[in-house]
Order: sequence, then C-alpha cells, then structure tokens
Amino acid sequence: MSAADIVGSLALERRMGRGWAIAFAVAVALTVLLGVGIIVLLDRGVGIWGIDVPVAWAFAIADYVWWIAMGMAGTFISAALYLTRQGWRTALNRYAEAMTVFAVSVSGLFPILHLGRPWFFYWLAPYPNRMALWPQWRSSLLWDFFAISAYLLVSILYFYLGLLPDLAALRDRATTRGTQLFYGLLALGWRAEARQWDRFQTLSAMLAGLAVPLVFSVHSMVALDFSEGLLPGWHSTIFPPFFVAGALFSGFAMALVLAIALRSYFGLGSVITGRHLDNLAKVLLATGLFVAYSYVCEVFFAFYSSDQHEIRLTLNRFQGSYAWTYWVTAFCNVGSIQLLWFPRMRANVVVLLTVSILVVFGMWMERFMLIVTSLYRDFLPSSWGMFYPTRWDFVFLFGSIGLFFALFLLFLRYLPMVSMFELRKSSHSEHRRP
Amino acid sequence: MRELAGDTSADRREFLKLLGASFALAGASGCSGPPAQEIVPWIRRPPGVAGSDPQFYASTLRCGGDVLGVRVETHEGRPTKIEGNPLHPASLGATNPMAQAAVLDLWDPGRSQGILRKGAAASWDDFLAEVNGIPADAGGLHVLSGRVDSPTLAAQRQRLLGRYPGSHWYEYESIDNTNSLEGARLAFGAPLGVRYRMDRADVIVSLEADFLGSMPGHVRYARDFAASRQPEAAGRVERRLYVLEATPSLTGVKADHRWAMASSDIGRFAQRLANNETPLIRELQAKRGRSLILVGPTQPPFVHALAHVLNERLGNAGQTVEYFEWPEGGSESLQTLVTNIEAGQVKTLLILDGNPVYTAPADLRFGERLGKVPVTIHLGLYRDETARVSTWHLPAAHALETWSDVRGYDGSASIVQPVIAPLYGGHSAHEVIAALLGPDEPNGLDLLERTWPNLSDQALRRGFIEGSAPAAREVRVNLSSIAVPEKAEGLELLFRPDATVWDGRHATNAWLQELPKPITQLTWGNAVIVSPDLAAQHKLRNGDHVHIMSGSNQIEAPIWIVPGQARSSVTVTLGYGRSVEGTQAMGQGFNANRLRMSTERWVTRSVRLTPTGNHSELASTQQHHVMEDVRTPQKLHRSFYAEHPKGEYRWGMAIDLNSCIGCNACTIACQAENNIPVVGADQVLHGREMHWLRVDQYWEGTRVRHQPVACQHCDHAPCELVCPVGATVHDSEGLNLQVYNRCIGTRFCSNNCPYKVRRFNFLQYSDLKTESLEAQRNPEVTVRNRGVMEKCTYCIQRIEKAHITADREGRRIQDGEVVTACQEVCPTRAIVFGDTSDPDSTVSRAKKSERNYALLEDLNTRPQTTYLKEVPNPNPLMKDDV
Amino acid sequence: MTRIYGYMAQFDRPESLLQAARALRNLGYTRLEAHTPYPVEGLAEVLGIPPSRIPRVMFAGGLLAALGTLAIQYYSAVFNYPINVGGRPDASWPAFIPAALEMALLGASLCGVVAMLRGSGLPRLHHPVFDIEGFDRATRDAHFLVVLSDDPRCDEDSIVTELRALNPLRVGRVPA
Repeated sequence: MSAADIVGSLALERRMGRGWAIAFAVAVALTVLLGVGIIVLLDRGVGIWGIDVPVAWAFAIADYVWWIAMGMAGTFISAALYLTRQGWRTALNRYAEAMTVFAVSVSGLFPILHLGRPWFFYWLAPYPNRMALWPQWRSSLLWDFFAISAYLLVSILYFYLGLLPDLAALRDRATTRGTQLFYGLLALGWRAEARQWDRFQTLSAMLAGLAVPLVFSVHSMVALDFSEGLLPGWHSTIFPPFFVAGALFSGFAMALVLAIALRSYFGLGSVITGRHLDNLAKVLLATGLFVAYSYVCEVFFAFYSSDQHEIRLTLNRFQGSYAWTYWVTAFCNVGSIQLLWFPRMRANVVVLLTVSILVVFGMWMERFMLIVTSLYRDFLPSSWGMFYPTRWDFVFLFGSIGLFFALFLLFLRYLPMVSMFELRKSSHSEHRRP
Repeated sequence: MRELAGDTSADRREFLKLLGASFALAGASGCSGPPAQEIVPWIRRPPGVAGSDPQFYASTLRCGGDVLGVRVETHEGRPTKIEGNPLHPASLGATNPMAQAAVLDLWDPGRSQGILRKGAAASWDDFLAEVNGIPADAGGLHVLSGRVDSPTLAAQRQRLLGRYPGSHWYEYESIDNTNSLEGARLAFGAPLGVRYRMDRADVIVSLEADFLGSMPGHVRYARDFAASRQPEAAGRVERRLYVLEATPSLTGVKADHRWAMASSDIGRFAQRLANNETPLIRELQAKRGRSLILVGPTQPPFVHALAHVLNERLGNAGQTVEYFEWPEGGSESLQTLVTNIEAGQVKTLLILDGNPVYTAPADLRFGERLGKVPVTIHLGLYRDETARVSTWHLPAAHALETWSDVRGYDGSASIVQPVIAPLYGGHSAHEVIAALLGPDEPNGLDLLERTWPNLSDQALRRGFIEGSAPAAREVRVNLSSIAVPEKAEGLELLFRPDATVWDGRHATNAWLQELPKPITQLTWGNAVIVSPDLAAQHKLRNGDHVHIMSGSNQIEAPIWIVPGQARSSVTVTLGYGRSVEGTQAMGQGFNANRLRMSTERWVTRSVRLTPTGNHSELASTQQHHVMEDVRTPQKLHRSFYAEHPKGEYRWGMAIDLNSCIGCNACTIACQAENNIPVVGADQVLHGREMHWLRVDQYWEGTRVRHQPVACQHCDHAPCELVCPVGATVHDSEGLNLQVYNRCIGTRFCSNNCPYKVRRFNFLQYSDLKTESLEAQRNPEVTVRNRGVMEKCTYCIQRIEKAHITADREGRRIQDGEVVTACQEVCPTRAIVFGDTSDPDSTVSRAKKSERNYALLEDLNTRPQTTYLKEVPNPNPLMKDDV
Repeated sequence: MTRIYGYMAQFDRPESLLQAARALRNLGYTRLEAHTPYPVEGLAEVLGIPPSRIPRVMFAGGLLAALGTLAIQYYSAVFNYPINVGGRPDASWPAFIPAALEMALLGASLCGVVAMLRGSGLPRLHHPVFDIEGFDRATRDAHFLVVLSDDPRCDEDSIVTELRALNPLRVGRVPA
C-alpha cells in the first residue's frame, strides 16, 4: 500500500487506537467544562473572570490572540510554501490547514464571549436596521471583525476545497453505504477530471497568493487592537510586524508539535520525515529570531523615544510585579530556540518537542505579559491595580485547548491527515527519477 | 401631602395607596400619628399643573458631627436626592457625605417595619396601653436620648420631667463635645458653645481640631477656609494653617505645616504655646485679632481652656472666635443612668433613637445592665443591638418623615420638615414623648408652633429660622491654674469617629460603607491605623492582624499604615463590628467600643500591640499613593484634524485643587444623582467600585494632594475612537456621551482612557429587585445593567433640563443655571461648571488663571475639565517636624 | 439501444495517458476527457481546455468588494449618519482601509471558489463515468481517457479499434 493509501485507510477504517481514545476523552471533558463556563458566563457576566479596572482585558484576549496566531502557520505552510514551491510542504499542509481552521474557530469564540453583552456581537456587522445605525469604522475592534470573518471563511474554504479530491478518494474506497454517502456528499461529485484539476490548480494558486496577504493583514489587524490604544507598551508601530512574526513562530511551533505527535503515533515516519522536522525547526528558529529582534526593538524604541511613560513601563516589565511573565517569555521564546542552531538538536525529536511546547506556552505568556503589563500600570498612579485570575479564567483557557483538540482529533479520525493526492503525485515523481 | 393628579402607572397607584393607608392608620388611633398637614415646598408651583419636575422641600439633617440645612428633591412624592440649603448658615448650599446618604437610609429595605414586644408583633395601641400603665409619681421612668439639640424636644423634656416627678432624662452620644463644654466651664465658668469665623483668620493653629472634616460646623468652616485662601482673590493676604495632631485628618493633610504628635502630648504643647515658649507664638502675635487657636473635641478640657486663654490674649475673642450659650443643656450622663440601674431605681427605660448597647463604653457593660430594667422601650430605625435586648421596639420615623427642629453648630435653629409620610408607620421621638405626656400634647407642626409661635410659611419654605442663633457673649477668662499631666509613655490608643459610618449609625448604609474614607481610602471595614515606623518595628504590612491590649480588654484587628501618624499612637475608628439582620451591617470590621473606657473615651495610654500572624485583605480603592515621578511636560501638539461644528454652548469644568479638601461629598453626590450601584467589599477588593468620580490622594511627605477625577470629556477622546459600535461619541456641546443601550461591553474604551474614569458593570450590580431601592432612584437617569460601561456625564440630565427650560422661555441658559451634582454639594466650591464658550462665565474666568492646567495634557486628549494647581503657603522659617 | 456517453481507455501511468491523448488529438478528436488521481502537467493543454476565468473573476470580485466597502463606509460616515467620534474627520480614509482590504481578500476568495465550482461543473453527484467499472480507482491509481460520443470524429465502429491501438489496460463503453 502506498503512503496515500495508508492515510486513506486511517480515515476509512478509523482504528485510532487507545491513545487517541484517551486523548479524545480528555478533550471532550475539557470541552464540556468550557460549555459549563460559557453558561455561567452568560448567566452572571464577565465578572466571573479576574478582570477589573484598570486591567479590563486579560486571559480572554490573550487566549484569542494566541489561538488566532497559531492558525497562521497552517495558512503559511499551505500558501507560502506552495508559492515558493517547497516540496516538503506536502506532508504537512493538510493537518496544518486543519489546525488553522480549528484554531481560528476557537479563537473566534473569545471576542464574542468576552463582551459584556455578547448576544449583541452582531452589531459589529453593517446590516440594515431600524435605527439606521452603523458600526464605528475607526475602531480596530471593528477591523478585527472583518479580518476574523474573512480569515475564518477563507481558511475553511481553502481547507475544504483542498480536501475535495481526497474526499472523492475516500468515497471511492468506502466499504459501507453510509461512509460512501458521507464522503460522497462532501466530495460534491468530484470525478478527478482534467478540467476540474485545471480549475483546481488555478484556484489553489490564486488562493495561495491571496492567503499570504490575508494572513499578514489579519494578524496586523489583531496587532492593531493594541497599537490603536495609547497605552505605553501598546502604542507602537512595531506591533503589526511583531505580531505577524509571533504568529508564524507560535504557529510553526504548534505545527511541529502536531507533526511529531502524528508521526510517532500513526507511524507516518516515511511521510513526515526527519527532513520535514528539520525544516520546520529551521523556520521555527528563523521566526523566533525575528520575534527576539522585536523584543529588542521594543526596548530600544522605549529608551530612544525619551517618553517617560514608555521608559517606566519597560523598566517595570523587567522588575515589576509581573516581571516573571517577561522573563518566562524570554526564556521560552528566545532562550530555548537557541538549541535549534545545532543540527544534532534539530534531529532529536525529544528536543524538538520540548522546545516547541515551550514556545507555544511562551507565546501565550508573551500575550498575557503584553496585555497586563501595559494595563496594570498606565498613566495615573492612582489607577494602578493588579490582576489576579480566577478559576473561570483557567476554565476558558483549558477548555479552549480541549475544544481545539477535540476538533482536531475528530479530523484525524474522519479525514485524511495528509494530502493523499499530493502524496501520490510526489511519489510518482520520485519513482520517475532515474 | 399635595395630591397628585392623573397618575397612570400602576406602581405609583399602589404606592399612593400605601401612603394613604399609612395615613389612615395614623389618623385612626387618635393622637398616634401626624395628621395630614400642609408641608410647604421650596418653590411654589402653579396650582393644577401636574408634572414630572421635581419638588424641593427645605429640611434639616443631622449628619455625623454636623447639622445641615438641606433641600430634599422629590419626584412624584418620593425623596430621591439631598442638596444643601443655600440659606442655611451651616450649609450655604453644600452637604457632607452623610447628608447625601440620608435618602438611602429612608428607603433602606432593612429598616425596622413593625412594632415588636418581646420579639412578637404588636400595635401602637398596645404600646399606648403600656405607657398608660406607668404611674406618674413612682419615679421609675427614665429616658435616654442622644444629644438634645432640638428646642422642641428640650421643651418636651421639661414637660415630661414635670409630669413624672422623680423621672430622669439622660443624654449619651458616642461622639460628643463634652470636652469642649468642660473646657469652657474651666475657662469661663459656664459650659459655653464655641463657634469660629474662619473667614477672618489669617493664621490658624489647630490642636487636633478637624474643622474641615469631623467637627460640628465643618461644612461651613470648609467654605470659609477655602474662600479665604483663593490666590486670585482681591486683596489677598498671606494665610497659613498649622496643625498638630496624632492621626492624619482632612484638616491636617491640608495644612501648610503639620506636626505629628501623640494626642496626649498636645496639651503640653498648648501649655508651651501659652507660656510663649514656641516660635509659633510670634506669628500669632503679629496677627493679633486675626489668628485663631482651636482645639478638637478629642483633647481634654484643660487644652480647650488653654486655647481660650490664648485667644483672649491674642485679641481673637469676638473676632475669629465667638462664645454663646446653648439653650438646651441639662440632661444627665450615662454613668448616672448606670448607677441608677444598679440601684434598682429604673423601672421603665425609654431609649430614644440611640444604640447604647453598641456604643456605650465597654466598662459600663450596658447590655448586661439593660437586662436588669423591667421594661425597656427602644425607638430606632433598625432592629439593632439595643432593640434586640429591649422589651419594646418601636420603628422610628426617619428625619425625612418627621416634623422637628434642631440647632446647628452655631446655635441657629432650623426646621425638620417631613417630605413623605412614614413608610412603615414609624414614629418620631416627639410622638413617643407625646404619648407619655397624654392626649392633650400636640404633635407634628402644631408641636413646632408651640416652640416657634410665629412660624410662617416663609420659614418653612426656607427651612431656617432667622435670628435663632444665640448672640455672642462677651466673656473673660477666669482661670487660675491648669493641671497639665505628665508626658505620656508607651503607646497610646486613640478613638475616632469613622469618616463615613460615624459612630456606627451608618453601618447599615451601603453608600457610606462603600465610600472610600479619606486618608485611608478603605471601604467596608475599619483598621488600626499605625505609623510606618511602628509597622516596620513589628514587621507588619497592611492587613496584618494585631492584638491591642488595654488593661484587661483585648481585640484583634488588621492594621493600616498611614504616613503622618504619630509614632507612639495607634488609632481605631468606631462604628464597625456591627451586625443587623437584613441590612448592610454584616459584621464587617471590628468593634472598637470593646476597648473604650468611660473615663478615657478618646485616649487610652499604655496599650500593648502584638502581631498575631493572621491577615485580611482590606478593600481600599487606591493602591498607589505616590506620584512616582510621573510629571509630564505640558506640551500640547497641533491637531491634524479640522474642528467639528460647535454647538450653542461648550460645557466645561474647572476644579480648584487649592480648595478641595478631599471630603468625598462629590463622590457620593454623584452616586445618589446618577443611580450608581454599590458593589460590595469583595468587588471593591477586585478593583470594581463604580463611583464615577473619585478623589485621588497622593502623599507628599505628610501632606496629601487631593484630585477629584471624573470623565474629562476630551475633545479628542481616545475612548470614542476605539468603540466598535459607536456607543461613545461626542456631542456638539463638548460632552463625551455614553450610550448605554448601544454598549456591548468590549471595554476597549476603559483600556484607552488614560484617566481610567470609566466604570464597567462586570456583574449585575444594580439591584433591580428590591422595590424600595427603586423608589430612591433618580427617574431622570437610566439604571444600567450588566455588561455596560458608564461614566460621568457632566450631569447631562441637568443640562438637558436647563435646555428645555431655556427653550420654553425663549432665552439662553444662564451662567450658573446648570449645576452638576458634584459641584452642588462641594463645601468649598472647588468645582466650577459652565459654558466655556462664554468668556464671562465663572468657569471661563477660572480657566484663565495661571494655575490652570489639564491633566496629562501631552497625550493630546484636550479635556474639557481642567484643574487649578494647589498653592500651599509654608512658613519659610519653619520646618515641618517639630 | 442505450445511449452512449463515450468510450473509455484505462491506463496505469499518466505518461501513457498523456501520450494517448496527444495521439487522439492528432487524429482529430476534440471532445476528450481524462480522469487522473492527481493533476498531470500539460494534460489540460493537450485536451484543449481553455484557460480558466478564475483569475479575472477573483480580481473583479476583490475590486468590487474593496470599492463597495469603501463606499459603504464613506456613505455612512459622511452622509447617512455623520457623528463626531473623538474629534476625527468624518471621512477617515486611513481607518476605512482595513475593512476594505479584508473584504477585498474575502470577496476575491468567494468569487474564486464559486468560479472554480462552476468551471468544474460541481456539485454534480451523478455522472455517467461513475458507472465505469473500476472507476473508483480513478482517485487512486487508474487513469482514464474518455472520448465523448458527440465528438464528430467519433465513429461507433472504429473508435474501439483506435483506442486499442493506444495500448491501454482496457477499453470500454460508457453508457449515459
């Protein structure tokens, strides 16, 4: 059986094994916990979290940025690596795109749930209404609304359309009528015809070309949520490129974690090879250096500006009440990736996994640090105040992780986790080479 | 009560039935309630015009150490807000926090609602039957009241003592002025009252006299004091304030020079001052007749006497200080009552509107002794600690439900006029005494007219009785020698009234519990106030618990560190540790009365303090009190944007920090006017208090700089920019608007406000279920639900009302016609509001001052509220610490 | 007599299919379809499939979305409901850009997807080729070349022979 067939069998026969079952059970449990949290939130209000004045944003916004950033790598792997004709993209792009769709979906919950009156979130859309009201165009939160909507829709379409040929393949290999119907409906009747392939290729190329500016602009919008604010530490033009770099960084880290997990659990070592991991690690290092450069820039700009508020904030980040968040971030995001300079380290799966998990954790901590250190000490000392999370803050964070993995694990079970037709194509090309 | 025509709301009809019912009940049993009598509104409304314009009635309120003439604002017969009475000499239009809170007390659902006899429901008739059974000449009738400052009650007292020979009347106040009266008796031979003319004093030396905060007359004194220190005033004279005190007070932190000194040592300083042994005396002598030495009620009588000696010597008598006779003296003391109880003489004890079981000094063991009295009758607003051990409990009528009169700090009398019939069938002290005096005794307005025979409509409308203040008396000091005690050793324990709950009577009031107390900014509790040195010595942080041992009594309490506290003094505030079921008093804080001795009511020496290792988190509203070198360069940048079209007016505000004393009256007035919810101690601890206006305190050494901060209504508001749904926008008259029903609660506006003046309803804070609280609310202001942002609106409801009135009359809004709630109640007139597009308006002229600046100006927010810098006036020849 | 959709030849390698297609084109056949498990380079040109409209549609869609979004913002903020927000100008062009940009990308993507589906004739759950025996392997390892029966060059008698000449794995009829 070819690699593609192995992947197809996984999706059809669905013998996921005990590890999958345990992971899924845990993920579902966390999702249920999230559900409980949502009910309590809607019933009582956002006061169940630890937010206050001055720190009116904390976990929920950190979670939102963290998740949407992790989605970036999927789009980048699919689109940018396609445009630059990187063959090693094939083994990774399917699950990475899935990761994007689920990460962006999960992230989209937070801007709605964190509202004081979340049932009115649709007022951000310009729809005809009796009061002739419009959204307020100059607000970065509104730009976010357009950005996230566009990103979510485009990611889903990109993912789905990329799946069409594989869905057809599964339909054709289905052994039960039910399975055949399931995949058949989703495949829309794809018959792998040359004209269809041609249109498919064109669209893939075009969407890839669109997706790169899309993902860059979406993360810039997310960054503008902060830059538009006048708080010291937020009000800086570095944020958009900084956040794009950070998104690539955290996304690739997550992609690496998933790559290692899928590879070892499903025995896909011949598909997701050491070379893939090596390349992912190199991109991780590169984007991590970009992020490190951003950290240095922030500090430089603060002192270069001579703005007393910026300087005070920067020094407070180093040694104030939340200094530990800064140094944990520095260790995880800058320190740990230095191991990746060394090929031996990049070849060591345990090291890669550890560094990736540290980066994923470190990137959450970075967002938390950015949000809270600027809010808790802004201009007037009289309004300075601390933020302490409550149990509900953690419920939503871990619940969102559970939801993501529940969706991802379902994807693993029901859909081919590597692009089958691309595998076939590349293995054919390899066989042709003398 | 005036009839209301054409109400269609079912709730209002229900409510009026309730009013009518209580009236009917009152009338049915003869002389048991006030007959329906005409109360006279502040402004006479054309007859037959039913409207929703509020009606104002003049009245008087006792509010923590002061008596203030007020105007009560009522909507459809419901009192909703208290404002000062501009004609009343103690108020001049201003109020203090406790006066503001009175309207919440009226509507408190936890108020006592029915007569109880041994815990079971009873009726007024049952009570009458009881009092009719009291024999006239058995001498067993005793009455305990608070301070008798009502001429009418004093007259009733005389009649009662006459009708029941052998009966006794006692007075007890937890916070009283017996030291001052005793001091006057030492100096002049008679217990005279003392009143001050702050406007005439160029040099003031205050010996623990908190005349800006807790002394009787503080509202008036604050006004006169601030007015005399206006730097731009014509003919400005150098004026200076020196304060010696143990624990920082509002007066002390405003002083040009403040010396922290143990309370017990202040008397020795006074003696040195009297013996010309201090440099201070030179300045006082240079300002003969224009200086003032005043002593606080916490200092022993001899210090008061010394001050009288000094004032006379310096020619101040009759100039900056006046002496007069209190007409209503003559009750006995609580100690005497206790003695009589022990002697078995007390058969019936009537406790008029007091809570002695809680407030009496510990050594008197009053609660225990009360058990020895066969029949105790308690009249009070709540079923409090005293009511629970009394035979009878009668719900009291609130001051806003009562006809009465009261004398203020300067002896002038004013009328207490009811604005609503008693909600729960309560009775006033007058009515209870009248029940004892028999059926011929008049009640209500008739009773008042007995004291004030020519009481005119005019007087009722104005609330103030002209010429009722006793004349100043010419007196000479007649004093041979004064015994000055030895220097104090060890730690002294000071008892002080709490800034918001006073002696505990306001512990049931949510607004006062949540109002940050000046200096400590604590809410919902009290603490032991210690100096930084003492805390360092015992390695204590804020909230750590200590044991305080005084003699054989001991309490455990958390500490709070206050800079400027004298090193050898610890201060406890009274009023906490109370539990009254169904109210806000739920055991918060600790009861300092347990350490208080009847012989040493203000200072106990040689107490011991030891840490216990326990800790509580105390809910303070401000965590950082140092400016931390946040001084911004005042550089306004050119704007990129074209100006938006301007409206007819441009509203703006100027706050004079020279005048602001940090009393927090503005904070609570805003809460009352704008239906701001109370959030509770736990939420305050989490930084979620809802006050739209807060008074920031920054410590500089031992001085405090106060800064009231509310929405600055920025022209280039950073909050408006970031709201995705446009819930906050700008109007043409310069106001930053918050549209509650559009807000979806993203909270970016709060994040982007550099002044952090926006408040968010994180949970459902507004109580939408309790009916009586709904009655208190201002119908002109929306009540906000959870998930919605709110902030100062420059009292837009008042601006709109002025617009409507002006449009109706075809004219412009006059300067001074729109008065915001905070502006109206400020004792020192620190807040000025008006039309900045009119160059002659008060606010425009204030902004032209050299002292004018905008907060965080370099952020280019262009706020409509600006501040006038404080200008302290230290003596270049003196250092702060003596 | 059953109607015939076309005649198919099955190959095992894309190169064979490509060669066969070229041969048929040289013989004058014009109505050809091919089914392969993955896209084959050059096949579309050989079969004479015209280039897709997708790029132009996407461009138009994106442009329309961008201009439309700008127009809506301008109209609402300047004419329909101008309101002073933070003293900023009503026509805040810098602020209008992000929404327009995102809508352009979304609009282009949606138009592209629609154009692709229409260009591919999808969704179409039933098609005659699904009845070819073994067609399920078209998405796996089988390559099918189909000559449609309405091809003018296609002659019922000779087509099978001509197909056999291409060396397929097998040849068959595709009923409609």
